[in-house]
Amino acid sequence: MIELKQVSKSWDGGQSFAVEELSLEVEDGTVLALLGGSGCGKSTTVKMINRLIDPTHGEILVNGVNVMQQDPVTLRRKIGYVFQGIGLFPHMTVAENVAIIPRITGQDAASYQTEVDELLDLVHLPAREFASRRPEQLSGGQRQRVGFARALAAEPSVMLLDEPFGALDPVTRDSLQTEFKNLQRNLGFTAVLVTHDMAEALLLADQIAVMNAGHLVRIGAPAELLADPGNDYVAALLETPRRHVQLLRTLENRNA
Amino acid sequence: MDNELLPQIASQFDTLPSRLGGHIFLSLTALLIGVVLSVPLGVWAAPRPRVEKVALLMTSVIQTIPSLALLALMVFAWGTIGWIPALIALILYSLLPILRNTITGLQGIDPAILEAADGVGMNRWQSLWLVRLPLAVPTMVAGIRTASVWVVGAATIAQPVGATSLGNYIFVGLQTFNPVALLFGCFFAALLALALDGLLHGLERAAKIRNLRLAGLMGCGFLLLAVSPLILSQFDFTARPAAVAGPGGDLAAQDDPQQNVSKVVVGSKPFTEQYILANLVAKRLRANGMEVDVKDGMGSATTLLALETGEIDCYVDYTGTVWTNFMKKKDLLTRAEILIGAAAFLLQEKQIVCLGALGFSNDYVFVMRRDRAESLGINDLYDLAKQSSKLKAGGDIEFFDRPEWRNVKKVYGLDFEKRVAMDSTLMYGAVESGQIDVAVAYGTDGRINRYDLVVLDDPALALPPYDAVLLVSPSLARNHKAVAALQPLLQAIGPSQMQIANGMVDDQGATVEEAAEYLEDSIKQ
Repeated sequence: MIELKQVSKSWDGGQSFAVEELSLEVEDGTVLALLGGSGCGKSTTVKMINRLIDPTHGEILVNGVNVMQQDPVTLRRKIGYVFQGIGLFPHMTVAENVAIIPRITGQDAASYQTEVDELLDLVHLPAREFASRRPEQLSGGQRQRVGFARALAAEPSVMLLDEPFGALDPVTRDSLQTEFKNLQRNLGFTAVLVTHDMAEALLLADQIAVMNAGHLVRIGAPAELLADPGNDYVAALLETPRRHVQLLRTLENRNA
Repeated sequence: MDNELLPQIASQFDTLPSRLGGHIFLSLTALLIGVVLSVPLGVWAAPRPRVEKVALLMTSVIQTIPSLALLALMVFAWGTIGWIPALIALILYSLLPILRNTITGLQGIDPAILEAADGVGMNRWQSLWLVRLPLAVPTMVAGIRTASVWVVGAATIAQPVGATSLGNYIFVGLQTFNPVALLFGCFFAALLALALDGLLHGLERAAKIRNLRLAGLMGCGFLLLAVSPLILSQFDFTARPAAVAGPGGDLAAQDDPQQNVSKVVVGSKPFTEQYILANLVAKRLRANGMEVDVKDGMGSATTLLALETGEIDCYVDYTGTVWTNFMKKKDLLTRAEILIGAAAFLLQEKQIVCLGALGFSNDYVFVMRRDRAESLGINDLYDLAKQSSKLKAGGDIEFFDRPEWRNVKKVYGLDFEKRVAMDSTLMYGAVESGQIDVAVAYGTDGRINRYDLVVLDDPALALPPYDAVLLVSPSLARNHKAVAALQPLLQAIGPSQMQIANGMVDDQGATVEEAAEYLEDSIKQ
């Protein structure tokens, strides 16, 4: 359970707000998509949850505990974090990257060896083939799979994903999105997914929170948003996938 | 040619272990301390723009000081000569490239990787050790490689401040017109720079591909390099015992604790006569079973300081130099009075013992080409003064700044059209070829006879006498064996013998050793 209560972030001492008075709840085991254009405050919001950024006002609770009352390093080790830059450590092998959280928390190297192999299997990178490779020897999709495995190594109950599929080609993106959905269902973690792609949000999220200029403009399940956009901004965001679907249908009918 | 060249090269190998050892000791220690100082400073400065600016500015300023000037500054700053000021100067020299590259390496890391380090929950130390430093290592090692080339190069000019290095070959080669010694020094300095660079490159590669075996191999390479002078000293190139010197010498002497007990260090100033006399003194002491180390070609003013501080145990100086430069006397007395006055001053003020005069004096003398002097009708310095305003004069690097010049200028009213300071070995050729009209020469130089130069009289005795005297430290003066070995040298070398010995080296291409042998033979007769 993640709760945001009246959370604001200002970089200039209160003259303007990147995020202003945002309140959200993410139920256990569900996926919330934070959706919006560039600069709407969605990345800032997700980084405040694991304290890569500290909020100016308001409270954030993860599993009932205020994050501001926790040591940021300890907090981050309990929360999985995947982002668009992927950020694999280029001087470490795939296995060393995946094992980084057990290593920095002081676990014995022998104790997490099998766990690392299992995680690599989970993201469809057989350990025998990939464990000793370096990030530079992997494709973009394979790198992000390693990024997922690394985030999962701490067995987190909460995952934060900041545009994790943004840098991937459409085919790779599609298969990784499906795999993410399966992983999330099987492992049952709570996730906050930042995206600017309405289609991705509709496919992956249980709840979609649309943000614009630091404010929450609409929140609801995908079906609710499709049935009633609520305002022009959300309607415009939904227009793009709709038009794509219609365009494809027209093309199929013409060929048939 | 070949049958002459080979023994010459072989004789250079004699001193290689001590000089290479000194060079390696200076370079490796300076680099190691440079790394230990620069890397933490770089880590601290990289995220702090103001600290970065100040640190880089200060190290850049150090870099703009010419290396020789920096070495000289360290001598004054620490009040001592030898390997300590040389090492400190080299450490200062190594700072900039290592510091700059540490900062560049740390600042150049992809921000996404730093965010990942924070995002997975690394604390500041884990982020530094596991991510930032490993990623900056290749850039840092590149900086260390730059520093190593600078340091090995700068260590060659550590010789004038009394640190033993491969630079001794180069300086002695220059002063005694010995291209073999000069090239020998350059060759080994280049070889050392290449070896260090190769090892550091290997270390860089090992860090990049995280190969422990390669890193270990390179570590062994460094160790081998460090002990290479010891290995070299095991080979007997000329069937003579190799002299062991300096900090490198200490390295080589570790196995044998007795070696240091009765070791005597002989110093010399940077010109031919001094090299020959130092060699002769060392030869006498060795013949009496003493361990001897020669420190060649030290700065003229630092030699007395070196004897005072115990860096060296004995050397030959000249009474006039002591009288005018150290006692700051302006009045000129007789030869005997100056000799006694200088000896008394050295004993009372510096606790230095004057063992006695060698029998010749190496005075400053004004010389001209015979035909030129005759056509102008110049016989003495009074005659010279009358026509000096249209004449060009040349002297060694320091003469025109010495009190002797101020005195002689005042007494005779000398006022040359132009004064040129040059290396002393070049001024005889310059007067012979007519580039200068008058040279302020050394009275014992063999080239005065060879070029048929006229020595102008000094009727007013404006120039002090420069009797060669053997100066020793109090401890050596109490060493009866040493004093007995040196006693035969006193009052035994006449002016013509010294002139012949100097001429052998400067004109006839003989080695310093051969000239010293000539002097020793002439003493026995």
